[in-house]
Amino acid sequence: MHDSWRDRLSEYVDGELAPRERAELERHLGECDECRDAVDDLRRVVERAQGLEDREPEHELWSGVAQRVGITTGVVDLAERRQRRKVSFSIPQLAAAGITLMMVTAGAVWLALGPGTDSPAVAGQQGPVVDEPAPVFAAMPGFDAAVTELQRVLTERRDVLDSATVRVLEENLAVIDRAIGEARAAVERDPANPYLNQHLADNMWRKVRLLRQAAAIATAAS
Amino acid sequence: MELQMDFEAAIGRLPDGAREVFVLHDIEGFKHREIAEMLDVTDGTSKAQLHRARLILRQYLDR
Repeated sequence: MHDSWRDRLSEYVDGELAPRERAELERHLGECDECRDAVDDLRRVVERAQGLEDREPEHELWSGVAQRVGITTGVVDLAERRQRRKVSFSIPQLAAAGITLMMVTAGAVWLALGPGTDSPAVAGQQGPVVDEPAPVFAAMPGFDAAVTELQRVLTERRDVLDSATVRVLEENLAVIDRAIGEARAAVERDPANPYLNQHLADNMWRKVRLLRQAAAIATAAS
Repeated sequence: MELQMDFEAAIGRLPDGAREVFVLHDIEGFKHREIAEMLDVTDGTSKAQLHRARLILRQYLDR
């Protein structure tokens, strides 16, 4: 396979090459079986991906979501969800929240516990770090109440969320809960570290923001 | 059905950046420009991650 073209095959499949590049690549495809096979495969990957959104969510996955948000009834009928098709626009927002969280969390804990402790502001991205660490629960007095209320809203409007949104929500809640758990453990190891306290508070607020966003989407779609 | 599950499982095992771009572009239909803005990366990074993901996933296509 021609390396310089190999890296451009997805752009070709997506119709993103300039006309001249496209013509050159098509000439190459006429002489390179390997690249031609790769193009065929890439198109099949795209087709497969485009067919994924309508798949019925796995029962275990839904159960995980249901347990997390306090839902006790079954899933919404797939045909009904397809007919409604209303909140998929929210997925990248939710996904992006999860991605940002994962990157920030990984970098933040390393900076706080590792040799880069002198630079907390780089990873914090949430404003200045306080000089005196406040007790975590004093700093987040409304956390439990906010989570409970948002989960109640989500429970009431659960049937307007499509399966793809539920999947992303489940993934991101898991990421956030993991981050909160890691941050709590870090604070327990070093309770006086102001940055770790701030980091824990940031993650708790991220959970509230995600739940608030999901609840708002469910409310708007209902 | 099993092959499809394999394909989906493979999506879940993609490297983080490649998985997120793949989901946003190929499943959700967002453009590289939009993904770049959401993830705070360049268009080129988004394209490279997408291509990386697809090349990995082609191994999980049913033959």
